[in-house]
Amino acid sequence: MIRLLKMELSRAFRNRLYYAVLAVGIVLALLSAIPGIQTHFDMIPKQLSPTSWGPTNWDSCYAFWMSVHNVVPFEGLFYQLVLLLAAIPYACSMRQELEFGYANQVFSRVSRVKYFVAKYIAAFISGGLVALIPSTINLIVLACFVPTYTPSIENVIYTGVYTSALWSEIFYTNPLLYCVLYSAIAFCMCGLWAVAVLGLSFLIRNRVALISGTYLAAILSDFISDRLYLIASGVAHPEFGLPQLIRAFERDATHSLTIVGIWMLLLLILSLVPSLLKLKRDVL
Amino acid sequence: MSRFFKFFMLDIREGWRRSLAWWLVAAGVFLILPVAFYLSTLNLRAEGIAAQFTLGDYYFNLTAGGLAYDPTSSTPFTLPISWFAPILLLAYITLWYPYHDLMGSGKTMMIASGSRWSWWLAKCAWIIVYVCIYCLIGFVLTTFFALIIGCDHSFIATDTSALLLRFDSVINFDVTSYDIMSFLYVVPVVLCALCMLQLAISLLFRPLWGYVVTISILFVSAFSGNHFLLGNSLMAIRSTVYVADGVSPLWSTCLGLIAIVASVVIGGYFLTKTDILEKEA
Repeated sequence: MIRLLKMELSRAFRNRLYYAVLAVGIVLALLSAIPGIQTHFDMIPKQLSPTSWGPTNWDSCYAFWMSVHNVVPFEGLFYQLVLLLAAIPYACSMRQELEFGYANQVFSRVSRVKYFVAKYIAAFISGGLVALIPSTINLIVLACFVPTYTPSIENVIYTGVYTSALWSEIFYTNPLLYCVLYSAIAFCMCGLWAVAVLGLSFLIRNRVALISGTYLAAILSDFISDRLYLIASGVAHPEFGLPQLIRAFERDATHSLTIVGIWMLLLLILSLVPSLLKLKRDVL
Repeated sequence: MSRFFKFFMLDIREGWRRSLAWWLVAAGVFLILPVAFYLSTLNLRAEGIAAQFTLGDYYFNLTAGGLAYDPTSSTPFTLPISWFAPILLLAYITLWYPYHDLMGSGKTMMIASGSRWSWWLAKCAWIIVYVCIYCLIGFVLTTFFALIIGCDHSFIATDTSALLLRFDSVINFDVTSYDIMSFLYVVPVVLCALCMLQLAISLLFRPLWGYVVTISILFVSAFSGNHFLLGNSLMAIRSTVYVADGVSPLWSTCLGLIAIVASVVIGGYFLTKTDILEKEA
């Protein structure tokens, strides 16, 4: 099992597609960090000047972190694309192996259950890291230039983390923990998304439909959530859109751990049920 | 000509059969838009405001889009998802069938017919037909719903719908009516251009990259108000109908036609030079 897992992890990470999507994510993360750093340097003269007016004490790398910040479009573009990027490297590997006959060779040598478990772990980790690595790099780059002050609730209109937001009290007391928690959510969601696409590959043979269609389904969830907000006209309700739940920024509706949990459960079911149904199927 | 016609009829038949479920999804999406718009008016405390909306207001809701990124503003940039999702759905519906055909029977038929251009032009015509059908579904369903709930039959949009959709920062309050129809004529042309570009990229490279390019064009268009970006021609709020320095329908039409012709010519040329037998399904 360990050898199988090592093999699957090696195939998942020593993969040109994986490096390509990671490069896209890192470029977007770096582009997202630049305006925050620029804003910090613009604020320094104000902070030093006794006469210059303007808010300056929200100058914290946590406030500019790409998951929280949403002024620059690169942050939004990353979280809009991250589900697609998480699925591209390894989510279609099962379908490819079944089509090319590689799976036949593996099934004749190892238990199918062990093979699926190893593949799922590799897909989960690779998908999760596609979200985690760029956002971590973004925070580290920001921290190299912008102080790690604890944000103040007095600057809530500049940080955008309102009291109704999920874990807002943690953001204003222990912002690093806040970043860790949201990074964990992003990692788990994207990892589960990748394994859900992997599971659906048992049912959907067309790889284009598999990756694009599932991504479209995520966008449609965001669309429905957006329209619900229009209908509700400001009445508080939880966010349903999957691309929005991956990040800390709350667009209109509030994030709810219940909705996050439901999505995770749904993705887990989508990943497991098709494989359990097809587990014993003849691959020849 | 007969080869083109035969390819085209086959594409219509086969493509329709394979994408029927997605047309139902499209109908659902097009119904959600006017329903959500209508239900949001019921939450307003103004009496009878829903009846004051016109057909033009409902068409505006369908194609409004969003405001471009303003670096001087502290307002966060948000992607207009209600504009983004229906276009992405159309891009998906028209995405995989051409490549699937190329990898399947299309390859054999192309060889048997002796004409790659006939096959390619048939696919381009198929795209045009599907885009027109998609726009027609959106238009008909929106009109149908708006008439059922008893809106004003005028095709002129009012500033009330722009206020409801939170575009109060850009609309000119001296102008209370907007000729939305002059913008709507442009939408099928620009959508054809987008789908043709996607078709060319997906056949020359892979469909997934074609889809990624489409997503990128739409997102960059949402971010930037540059008139050369196709997505800006698909947003009513960025057209000259609503803003003085917006994208004019004439410009959008010309840009769309140029993009269509370029995609057809360049895509067809490279298809004739590509080794289709070695392409991986």
